[in-house]
Amino acid sequence: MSHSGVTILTWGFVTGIAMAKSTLTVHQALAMSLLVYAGSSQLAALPLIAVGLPIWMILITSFMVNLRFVIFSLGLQAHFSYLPLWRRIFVGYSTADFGYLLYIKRYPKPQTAQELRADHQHLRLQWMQGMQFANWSIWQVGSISGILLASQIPNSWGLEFAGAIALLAIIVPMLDRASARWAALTATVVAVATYGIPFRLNIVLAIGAALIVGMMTDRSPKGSTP
Amino acid sequence: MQIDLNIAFLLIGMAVVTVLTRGFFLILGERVKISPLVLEAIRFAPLAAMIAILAPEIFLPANASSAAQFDIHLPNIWGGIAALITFYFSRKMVFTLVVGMAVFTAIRFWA
Repeated sequence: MSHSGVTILTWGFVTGIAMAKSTLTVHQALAMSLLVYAGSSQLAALPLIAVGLPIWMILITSFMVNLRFVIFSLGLQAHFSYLPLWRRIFVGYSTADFGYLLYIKRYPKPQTAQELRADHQHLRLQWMQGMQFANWSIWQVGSISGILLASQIPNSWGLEFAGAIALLAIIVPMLDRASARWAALTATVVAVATYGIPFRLNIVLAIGAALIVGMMTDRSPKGSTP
Repeated sequence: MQIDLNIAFLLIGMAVVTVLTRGFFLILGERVKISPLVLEAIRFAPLAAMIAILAPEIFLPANASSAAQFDIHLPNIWGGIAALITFYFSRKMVFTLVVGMAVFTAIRFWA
């Protein structure tokens, strides 16, 4: 956990710097950190906010960036299906990458109905919520420190580039298969080459082209989870 | 004020997106089954979206209007390449940030 803790803290810190050095004010950056609570989606939104893209387009892009969480929620579904809707929503919102990965490692299989009846204290849920609270707190400490520190640094230092570097560092570990690298190359070329077209539709074109190339070059068994 | 309100709506919207994606199947339960093809697309979509946003930030100047403004002397390009190489080999975020920013800043003042 201590290793994960340091990782969460530094990622939060760098995301905080990127938000403070974007077009957002300090208050807006703090609100983004506390409300949105999804680092990659925040980092991806910053350049789009800067160019004044319509809200709905930023939201759709956010959704695309967050799609990995949809897969996580599929993994958690059977574990928490006994909870009422609002508690499932809360568990979902709070489950960031580390919460999910550590939970699934510890509890690979959902409890049977019988085990669930015997488990009066819902220990797994408590374990999960403890992990989520730790993750949230550490993230916010890092992120808010980053915002406050970066707001004291002059813009002439060019620290806004930190956001691009952080996004790059999120992308690199995803390039672990040939198909992902082909998809990445395609997205890069298309997004840059078609940059001039209106409404930043280059993003849509780049995503479409990358999906096609990625799926065509993918040789892993169909239907396997990432 | 107009802009502030827009940002407020955007931030609330992004929070809703976080809820909808992280809670997707927790909310829907087992009613919706997902086809293998969609699942396959979902694996590539986040990568594609992030690169579509990042690539112009790296390869084109700020406020660029078209790809014609590509310039090999841009500090973004060299800072980006330095960060890419550093993170690939070290997997250390803060170290990568320092190297990337150092190269970016050096080119910015030297070129």
